[in-house]
This record gives sequence, C-alpha cells and structure tokens, in this order.
Amino acid sequence: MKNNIYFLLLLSMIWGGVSCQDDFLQMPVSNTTTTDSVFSTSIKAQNAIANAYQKALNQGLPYQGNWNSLIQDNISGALTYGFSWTWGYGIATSTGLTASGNIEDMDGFGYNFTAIRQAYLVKENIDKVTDMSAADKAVVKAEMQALVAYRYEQMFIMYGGVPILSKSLNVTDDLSIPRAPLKEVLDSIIAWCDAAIPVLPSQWPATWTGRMTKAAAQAIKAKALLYAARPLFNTGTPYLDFGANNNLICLGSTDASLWQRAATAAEDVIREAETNSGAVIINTGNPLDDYGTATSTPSNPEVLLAYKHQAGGMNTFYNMHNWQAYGNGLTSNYLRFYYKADGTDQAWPSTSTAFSDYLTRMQAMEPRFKACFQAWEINAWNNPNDNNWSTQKLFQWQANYCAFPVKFYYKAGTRSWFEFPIFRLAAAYLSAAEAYNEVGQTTEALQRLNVIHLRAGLPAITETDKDKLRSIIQREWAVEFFDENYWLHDIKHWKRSDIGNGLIGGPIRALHFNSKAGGKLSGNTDYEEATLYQGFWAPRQYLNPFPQTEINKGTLIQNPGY
Amino acid sequence: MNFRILTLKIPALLCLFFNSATAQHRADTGNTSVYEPGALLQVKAASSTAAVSTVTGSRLYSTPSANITNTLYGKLPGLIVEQGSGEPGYDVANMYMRGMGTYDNTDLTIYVDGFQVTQSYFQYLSPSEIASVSILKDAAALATFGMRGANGVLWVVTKRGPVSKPSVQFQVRQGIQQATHINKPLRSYDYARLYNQAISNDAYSRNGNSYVWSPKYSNDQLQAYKNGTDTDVDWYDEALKGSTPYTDANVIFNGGDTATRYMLVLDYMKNRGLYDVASNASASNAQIQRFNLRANLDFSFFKVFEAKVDLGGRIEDRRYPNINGSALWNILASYPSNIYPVKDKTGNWSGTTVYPNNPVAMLKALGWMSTHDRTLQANFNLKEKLDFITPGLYLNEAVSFNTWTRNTSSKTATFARFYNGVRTTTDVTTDLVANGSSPSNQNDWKQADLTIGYDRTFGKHAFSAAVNYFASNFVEDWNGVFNGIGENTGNNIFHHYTNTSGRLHYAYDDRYIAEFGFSYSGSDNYAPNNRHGFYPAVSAGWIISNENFLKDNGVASYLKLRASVGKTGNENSNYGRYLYQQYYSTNGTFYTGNNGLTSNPGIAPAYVANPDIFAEQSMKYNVGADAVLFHNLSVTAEVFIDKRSNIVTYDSRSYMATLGSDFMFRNMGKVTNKGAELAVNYNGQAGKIGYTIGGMATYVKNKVNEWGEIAPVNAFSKTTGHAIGTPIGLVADGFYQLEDFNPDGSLVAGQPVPTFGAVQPGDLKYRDLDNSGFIDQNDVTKIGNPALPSLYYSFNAGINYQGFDCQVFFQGAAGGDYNLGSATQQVMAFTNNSNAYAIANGAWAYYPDQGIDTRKTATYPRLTTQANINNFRNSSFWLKKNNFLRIRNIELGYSLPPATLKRMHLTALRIFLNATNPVTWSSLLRDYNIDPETPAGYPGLKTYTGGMTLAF
Repeated sequence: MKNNIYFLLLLSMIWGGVSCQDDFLQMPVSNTTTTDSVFSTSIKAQNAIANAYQKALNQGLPYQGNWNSLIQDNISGALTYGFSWTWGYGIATSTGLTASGNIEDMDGFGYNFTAIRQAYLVKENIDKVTDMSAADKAVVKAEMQALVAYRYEQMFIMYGGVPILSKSLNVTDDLSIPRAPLKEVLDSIIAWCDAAIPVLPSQWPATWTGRMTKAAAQAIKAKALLYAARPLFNTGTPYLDFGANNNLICLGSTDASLWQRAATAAEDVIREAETNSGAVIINTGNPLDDYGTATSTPSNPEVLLAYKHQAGGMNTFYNMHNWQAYGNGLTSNYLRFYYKADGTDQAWPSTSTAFSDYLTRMQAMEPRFKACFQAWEINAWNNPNDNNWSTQKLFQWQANYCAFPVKFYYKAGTRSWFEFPIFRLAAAYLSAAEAYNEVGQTTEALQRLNVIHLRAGLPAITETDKDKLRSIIQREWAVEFFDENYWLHDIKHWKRSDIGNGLIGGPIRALHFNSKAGGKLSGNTDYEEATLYQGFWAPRQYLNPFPQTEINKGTLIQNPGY
Repeated sequence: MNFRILTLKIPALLCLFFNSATAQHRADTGNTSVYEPGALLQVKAASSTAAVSTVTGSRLYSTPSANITNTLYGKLPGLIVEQGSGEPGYDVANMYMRGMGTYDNTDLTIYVDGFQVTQSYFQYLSPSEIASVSILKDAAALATFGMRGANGVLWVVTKRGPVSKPSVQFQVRQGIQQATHINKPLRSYDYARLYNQAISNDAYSRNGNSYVWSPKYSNDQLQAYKNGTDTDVDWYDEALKGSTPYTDANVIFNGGDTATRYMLVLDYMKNRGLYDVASNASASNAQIQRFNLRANLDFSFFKVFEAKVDLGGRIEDRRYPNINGSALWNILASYPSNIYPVKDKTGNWSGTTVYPNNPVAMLKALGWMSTHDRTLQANFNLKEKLDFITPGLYLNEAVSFNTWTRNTSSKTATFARFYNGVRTTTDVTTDLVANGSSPSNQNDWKQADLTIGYDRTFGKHAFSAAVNYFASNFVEDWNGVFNGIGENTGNNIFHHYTNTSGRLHYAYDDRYIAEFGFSYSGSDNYAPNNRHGFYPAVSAGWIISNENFLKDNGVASYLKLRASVGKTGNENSNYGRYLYQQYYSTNGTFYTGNNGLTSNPGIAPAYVANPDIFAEQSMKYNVGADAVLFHNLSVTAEVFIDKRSNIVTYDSRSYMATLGSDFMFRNMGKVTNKGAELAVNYNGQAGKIGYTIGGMATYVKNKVNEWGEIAPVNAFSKTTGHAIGTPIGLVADGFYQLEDFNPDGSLVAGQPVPTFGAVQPGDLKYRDLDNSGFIDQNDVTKIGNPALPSLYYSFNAGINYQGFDCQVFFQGAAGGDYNLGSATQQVMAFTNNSNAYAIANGAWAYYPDQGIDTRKTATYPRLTTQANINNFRNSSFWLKKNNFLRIRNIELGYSLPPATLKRMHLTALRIFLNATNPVTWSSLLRDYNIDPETPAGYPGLKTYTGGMTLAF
C-alpha cells in the first residue's frame, strides 16, 4: 500500500514536471537591450540617435582603423597610394576599382543601407519615447531624414542611381529593390532636404553642437545639385554607353538650369549660415592662422557639419605620428596646384638640383600649403615651435615624396584626434563661384571665388574668360579642399580630360632626393622631380562598382565596364 | 556472460593487462561487457542494435597522461582524437565523433554515471576511477538524447563496488616527460647570413630593380658568430629543461555484500612543465596537481529499493610563471639567437624595445599565478522494483548536483630591461606584489531524472522498455561558450533543458531484435512556441549465428547484422542562444558639443531576429555487423551516413544589402558526412605464450551541401560542395625569375599581374585561373584537404609469457593537410623582427658575386625582412600532407605468479615500464621539422614511466 501511494506520487510528479515545462524553459533575464526597451526613454533613444549620426557621417572615412584602410586622396593622385597592403595600392596602380575587392568606400556599398536603416528606425520609433516633447520628436525626425539625404547624396556621387528607400525594411519586405534612375535619386534627396530644412534648428545648444542644422541640410542639397549640374551626369551621353540603363548613370540631357539651381542652393547655404547659424569664413588677415583654424580647430565657426569622432583609429591615417599615415606623401601632380605666396606658380626642377633650392622654393609657398604639409628638413609650419611636430618627431624613413600631409592638426600640440569637416562654409562659396561661371555670371563668380582666394592671402583673381576661370576655380577646389574628400569625385564629375594622364592615371610624379635614394632627416644633398609610379585609370571608374556579391543576388545592375 | 562477447565489444587486449586479474578487475570488465553502455535500458551487448564502442578504465590507465582525453587516441573506433597543447592544466585533446558532421559546434555531449557534465569535469577524471568510456554513435544509441545527441555522446561509467571481501589496490608510477618535438630556429651565424640576403633583397627597387649585395652583418661579424665569440643564445635551451618529472598514484578500496557495496578511489597526479625554473615563493614552473576522491556506494534494502550514492570530487591546483603559455612559446620561437645574451653585462636582464620580453626573464622575473579549482559531482539514485504490481516493473529517480569554482591568486613583479649597460625601456624592477585569492569563475549544474521501466521475458519474447523525464539547469558565470557571439551575455545566465525520452527493446528467440527510441526535447534557446522537438529512431538486429542453419558452423561462433535510422538534434550553436530575440548592441560613438565634448554612445540593432530559429537536425543511418570468427577473431564493421540539416547559418545570401542590417541566422545549412569503421581483434595462445593482435580504422568524409554561400565570381572558387575546412587559396606556380621583369621593375608583358603588392624575382608566382590578367582573390580555388584527417587508425600487439607481458600500441592519421602558413614564426622568416628556421635555407636568392645562386633549386620564396602579403598568403605552396604514425604506447610488465603472491598474502603484484609517444613517423616532421600534431606552441609530450600495481 505504501508503495502504491509512492508510485502515484511519482506519477503526479512526472505530470507536474511536464506541465510546468513552459515556465521552466523561459529565457533568463539579462542585461541587454531589446526592441521593447530601446525607445522607452529619451536617454536610451539618445543612444540610437548617436548611432544614426555615427553611421551616417562616417562615409568615406577610415574610422574603423582597419590595417588596409585608405584615405580618399591615396587614390585621387594627390597623395601616394599608401602601403602595398592597403586598398589604395591596387586601385591606384593595377586593378583600379573592382567589384570584388578593391573599393573606394571601405565599408562597402551595403553599409550605406545600414546607416539609412538606423536613421529610419529612429525616425519611425521616436514617437514611442514617453518623455520627449512633440516638437523635439519632430526635430529628431527631420535630423534623421537629413542624415538619410546625406548618405544618398554621397551614393549619388559615387554610384549614380541606387535603390531608394523611404522607410526601414524588414526581412519580410520585398528587398529586391532595383536601382532608381539618377533623376529620381536627385529628386528624393532634394525633397528630403526641403522637408527637413524648415523643421531643423539653425543652431543647437552648446552640448548638442554637431547635430544637423538648417544650414547643414541645405549644404547636402547644394552638394547634390552641384554634382548634378557637372558634366558627368548633366548630359544625354554617359561616360560609357549603358543602353536602356543610361538613366542610371546620367540625367538624359544637358540642362543649363541645373547650374542655376546649384548656384541658388549654394547661396541659400551662405545666407542661412551667416545670418542664423553664426557661421563665417574665418578671415582675420592672417591666412595661415585663418585657414589652419577653419580646417583644424574643433567646432570652429566655418564648419557646418563635421564627423565628430575622437575615438577609434580614423586619425591614425591622417596623423603622421602613426605608422598608418607614413605611406601618405604629396605627389608633384598635386603640388603644382598650389600657388606661391605671391600668387604666381612655382616651378620644380626635373634635373638634379641642390637641396637648398628645395628649401627656398618650399618656403615661398602659399599659406594654405604650409597649413597642410610638412616639408623635408622644415619643422611643420602649422605647429610652430612645437617639438611634437618637428621633423625629428615626424621623420620615419627615406622616401621620395614632395612633402607630408599634416592638415587638420593646426596648432594641435598633442591632440591626436580631429573632427573631419564634412561641410565647410568655404565649399558653398566655391560651389556658387563654379555655378555662376557656368551660367555666365562672371562678376558673381569672381566675388564668391575671391572671398576664399583672398582669405588665403593671395591676390584677387580677375580672369573673366569662362574656360580659364573654370580651371582657376577647379584649382581653387584642389588647394582649398585637399584631403577633405572632394578632389577624387570632383575630377570625375568635371570629366577632366587629363584624368587618365596626370591626375589619377599616367605617371604619378614626386620630388626625389639624394640621387633618388629618398629624403633623409638631415643631410639631404639634391632633389629633382621624377616619376614615382604609373597610376591606373579606366573610364569605367567614373562611377564605383557595386559589389559582386550583391550583383549575384540578381536585382542590381552593375555599372558599365565592371 | 560468455567470453566471446567480451572480446567482441572490447576490441583490444585488455585481458592481457593484469593477467592475474584481481576481483577488482573482474568487476569492472564485467560491468561493461554484459550490458551495452547507454541510457535508460540495460540491453545485453549481444542483442544490442546500436553502434557503441567501449574502452575500459584500466586500458586508459596504461597511458600515463595528466588529461584523460590524451589517453583516448585510437582507443575507440569512431572517435577521432586530436592532440591539443601539452601545457600542464590546458592539455585537452579535441574529440570528434565520426569526424565532423557540422560546421557549427561539434562538441560531444559527455555523460558521467548517467548525468551530463562539462568537458572540464571529464578531462581530469582519473583512469583509476573509471570503469569504462564508451562512444554512442548511431541513431539507436543516441535516440534518448534528442536535441543534445547529434554530435555523439561520450558515456562514462565509474567503478562500483563488487560483492567480495574487502580488497585494496595500490598503484603508483613515476617518470619523466619530454617535448615530442621542438623545431629550433637557426643559430646566430645562419640567421645573420640569411638576414644579409633578406635585407639585400628588400633593396631591390631602390637599387634600380636589381639585386645588389648590401649586407647588414659584415664577414667579421659572421665569423664571430661562427666562432662563438659573439652572442649566440639557444633560447629553448636557456628557458627549458630536457625533461620534467611526472607522478601519479592511487589507492582503491572496495568490497561489500548484497546489501551494501562500496568503491573508494583516492588519486593524486602531478604534472610539471618543461620550463627551467624552480617552483618557489617568487617563481614557478607550469604545473598541475590533481587530487581526486570518489566514493560510489550501493545499497539494497526492503527488497524493493536499490540506492546509489556517487560522490566524485576533485581539487585542481595549477601554477604558472606569470606569462601566458602561448605568448611565451611565441617569444621562444621568434626571438633570434643574436639579439642579446640572457643577462646584460651589468648583470641585469637583457631586453630591448624591439625584443623586450627576454624569455628567461619572463619565466624568472615576473612572479607567478595560480588557480585553485574545486569540483564535485554528487549523484543520488533510487530504484524501486515494483514486481509486486507486475513483474519487471520499476521506477527510478535520480538527481545530480555538479559544481565547479575557480579561485585565482598570484604574486607578480616586473623587471628592468638593459642592453649594453643601458636601460632600454621604462620598466623598472619591482618587488613581488601578492594578489590575494579571489573567485574568478564558477558553474553549477543540477539535473533530475524520473524513469518508469518494464523488463520481462515471456517465453521467446523479451521486452525491455522505459520512459524517462529529464530536466537540467546549467548556470555559468561567463557565457562565452554557450552564448557564443549571441548578444545575451552576462553573469549567471541559466540554460534550461528538458527531455522526455523512451526506449522499447524487443527480442524474439535471441534471433530477431527490434528497437524503438524517442526523445521529446525542449530548450530555452528558442522562442516560446518553438521550444520542443521530437526525435524518433528505429533499429533492428538479426543474430544469424543463432539460426539453425548456422548453428554448428565452424567459422562464425557469433554473427549479428544490425541497422538503425533516426533523428537527433544539436541545440548547442556557436552562434549563441536566443537568436529569436531582436537585440540592440552598443555600436559607435558620436560626439557633440564645443569644448569638453560630450560622448554619446551609440546603440543599434544587432542581427535580425529569427522567430523560427531551432536546433540543428541530424538524420543518422547506420549498418553494422559484429562477428566472432574462429573463436578468437572478433570483428565489428560499420558504414554510416549522417545527414545534417537546419544548421544555424548566417544567411548572407538571401537578402539584398538594401535591408541595411546584419542579416538573419537561419536553419539553412546542410552537411553530409559519410564513413566506415572497422575494428578487428585476435586473441591467440601458442603453448604458454598468449598473444593478441588488433586494429581499428575510421574513415570519414564530409561535404557541405549548403551554407549560405554567395556565388563567387568564378565557380571554381566555391566552398560549397567541399569538405568543412577545405583550404581555399591561390595555386602556386613556382617563383618569378629575373627574366620575368622589365628593367623598370614591371612584369614582362603577357604575365598576369599580382595585386598583393609589388613583386620581384624570387617571389611566389600564382596561376591566373580566370585569365583576367590579374592574380587576385578571384583566382582562389580548392588547394588541398582540411586539417581533419579522413583516415584515423590504430593497431596494437601484445604477448604474455610466464608472467611477463608486453604491448605496443600504434596510432596514425592520414588524408589531412597542414598549412605551413599557420606556423607563422617557423615559416615566415624575419617578418616582424622574427626568427629564421631551416626552411629558409631553401630561399630563392641570386648574388653571383657572393657565390649565391639558388634560382633553380629554391624551395622557399626570396627572403625579406618585411611583411610580404604576396608570398605569405593562402596558397597551394604552403599546403602539405600531414600523414603520421606514432607509437602511442609501449608497456612491459611482470606479474608475480599466484603461488608467490599467496606466500606474500597478496592478490596481485605487477611492475611495469611504459613509454608514451616515443616514436613518430611523419612527412611534416621529416621535411619541415614540424611536429604533426603540435606544430607550434607548447608541444605534446613523450612520457617514460615505471610503476607498480599491488593488490591485497
């Protein structure tokens, strides 16, 4: 009897065990964030917003600090390719851009949509936050839409037509979204900016400086319109015939009014920035200091939007105190764009010449050169009397480069990080100048150009011939915006005739030292200009390839030539 | 049970060990031979339908080794065991049941006395407490393990007390251990000689694309190295000793009557490192001391109850020099002989900024660290025989508590580095600082088991059946293993699992056998509506030798055919748990503000949640035959197929990048693993000489049918369709020669251009498989076989005569390839200020003025002091066959004859000598001086011991 009772007890235990299984198999509570919790409070939502900024604004920058990263001017012909293990090496010298390896944008095409999705997720979910005012929520939504617009504007320039997303996608959505025609992408960017601009603030409270403003959103729109107006897209005949898909890589006809719109958009930026944002072209009459401050000082009043990133490895590729940057040397292909301080051109010898001549010629260069480069045996001009920026500290090994980039570190001392300027007010001036020249408004063009040119301490430009002025403006872009991620795409979108012979392709030249053995820390004897390597160029490279892995999924059409 | 079956299921020479067998030995062989090891039912081995192989603890004892996994090489057909590191305390071997069935987690599930344990619990069990270790391989054997069965189950049974008068057995052995093999670098002279080549080669482009001799070391300098008048340190000699002691000892008390039986095992083991440093207050050799205590008690009472209490406890004390073992071996391998003497002329430790970590100083001047581990598995089992309800009915309840904690303490110091009398780094010599013992890790595993069973024979019909409910709660501090890369990490995460399983075994007339088994498993890894899986298996056997038509044949005294098919699962994914949850992870930081910037940490969605994620699934098919031929020859042969599906896979193929997120983990992977096993054993007697010969072989071959690969540019680059781990790389095509280049250093037209940096004569040349004109990642293809061998085998022989016995055990592997590129230090000469090894002597070089011209004979690319991603990338050049054969074990013993023993009041006395891993045949060893199993890092060990077994 006793045993029978025991048996029944056991059976009921088994039954009990089985029936409470559902509770037993509950997932344990842990300290991680799920969808339910991320948009619960504004403190938490702030993290999602920060991530949207970080993701959207890092485009084209080596922020991940990968060992094989490139900086854009490694492949624009301005700087040497870097090291043989970087992406830049193959692109600059042998294969060019490829669909399955050498890419310009190290995050890859897909990452654009990671950034876009994060911005849309915030935009779509911010209403769930319980402790934020409706007005603040509207601003957050406008910020996110502007970030999406920025990412599209950059993709527009690099890829041409791309799939347009107006919301965040899920795996259950139809993800097979084809490339939209170039025109639609442009219209979307403009529409998104136009929607965001009225809602965004002109300025943020001090602690939030760096977030999207009216002027920054206007700058996105202005940049998109400028590139749309330039010859690569503003044509019925694309760089390579793409047949029925021509509308993915050009706008279909040459439309002079695009230049007008570009000029207006640039003027909008200038007006808003200078009237409401507190932005100015820094000009105190001291060109080295003014330009140095405008490009280097964190949160200076000339910057409309920056990638404000102190941590991580980005700076190592720009800061000559790190091995990652040692491979970056100025080529003479680019050196020739810089003026002498008196506004005339500098000549560089192509036969062996005494090294003292190098020192003399370098010292005669314009202030913007001195703010950007450190020459052999000359302590960096941009950090005067600072041992941390002496040739002793920066010299690595013998090499044949004209000079070394030290931009973004004007009077930086021991600060290793910098804020990459995405939109500087100066760009709006040059955009306006370029557009005015194209529509024949020479006076306005010169006025806008000279604001920048005079600030640099150079004599005013007076050229009125449209073609000559065009090349002067292009040269101004080169000098003013070295290393700010303009030049590579500028020369493509201008369809410069020398792109394959002297800009990206053809002989990449540099100053060579000591019978071409390379410059030394001291005791250099002679120098001359000579070819360093042959740059690679093919017309397909006007636009970037989509990754082969994406093409293989069957929806996207590859750009021609890849 | 008849002796034939015993030899059948234990394909070995166990009868030879302790041939004057004590009661003790009869007890432990008896346990494993009568019944097939496995869950839930006790099925006689003769009428089993499952694929199970078993080895006894006493056979494992014949390999003296700190870690039980290192005694398993070649012992169990179907279990592939790969040597890991030889470092004391971290010397676990990798185990694979029938090769690799999945590219996800392949960990075996390990059970000790019916309850699941961690690998770390298993690995330091002592052979003296183990009755048997079995590997359960097919669907029939794994039917009741459900969602944890797919990778096979290692089923360990510890010793239990016999019904006998009290007996005591004492065993001790002591000996030395040495590295199986160390590949030593070149000494100063050869290093410097080759360095001159390397540095000259690097000046190629500076010298107008030609090779100009520009040495770093002058001839005088070279001569000084040669004469020994300049620095020439053999770091291995300085840091290591030739051999290190090994000791283990155990005492076993057992006995009992029908009501109470006991088995008490006390075991001690001390395993020391190869480092030439004393263990004292300020320094320490690597070492582990293990103290095991086991008490297994059996009680029968009131006719109805049978109770078992098993307590298996253990202390592990580890102590090390205060430097990570693999870091130290890296330093030993990479520091050249000529960098500095061990001590500077000032008497301080040498060190420079490039070579700061003088290996001898790392051992002696940094202090030590230690861990103290406490482990206990406590099981309680109660069985009620309910024959009064109906004969053969029983109930069984069992619980297991398993707990492990680790405390860490250390005494640490730093030391100043000097070179030529000058301090070179900012380090200063400090006094030892004691860091008190603090808990650093723990886990806790509670399991409960309820079984109702029925066991009865009606005439020719024999039934055996049971249904079981099992619940398991595993809690660990650090979730790296079970959570993988999953997001849900944190301390004290539990892992809950339930399993309802059953087996029904039916035999008709000892001829026809059928079995059905099932599991209904539930895991908290998955979404609430998706937590359970059902795993059935069916199997059948036919004992042909019991048929009338074979009854009296002279050939086969026993012959059985069996087949099984069934489903199991694997819930233990490397990708972590809770893949159904949408997690957000911290990601990126954005700064705002003017001065004193505010950092805003970012948070973003991780991979897309998959609400349907579930356990990997395995369909196993097995056909086997067991036979005893000519009375002394036992044979077991099997063929099997394991078809895995639903393998958790990161799906990078299905979604367009426009999704803008990390993709989803999905149950999409498929792998087919096929193979065969053969085990043969022969016991013979020739006059007074008894002898045995045996062998086993396992052949496995897997193929990835699907793992979400995006089609590569060229079909020949595909990884799908090959075995897991198949090396993919470029096809090497000799070396570039001088005539391949134009005077300006560019390649002569018509040759494909490599895209991995500038090349020069002597660099590796690759095939442009897609004829694109470029050698790039699109030219990669299958270049060899995975590292896992496809054929794994062992064979053995033994004889005994007049109390003397001798056994030799060989184990080998074939079909795997080794990528020399993974032995970076030994292969990539001079890179990263590293060393040069003999392999660099074959380098391509052309300096005719120096009498150097190896253009035709080179076996290694030109030397360089820089990173060279063209040469040192995955290519067929570096891939080498890794076939090897080792003598795992030789033992020579002498047992006193019974008459003498009786006079001495003993039941057994045996003395023995043993050598483990004494000899190796390997192509890798022959050609590249690299050990086939531990090519880099802390080497595997050879062990020579002598010992004694005494019983009374």
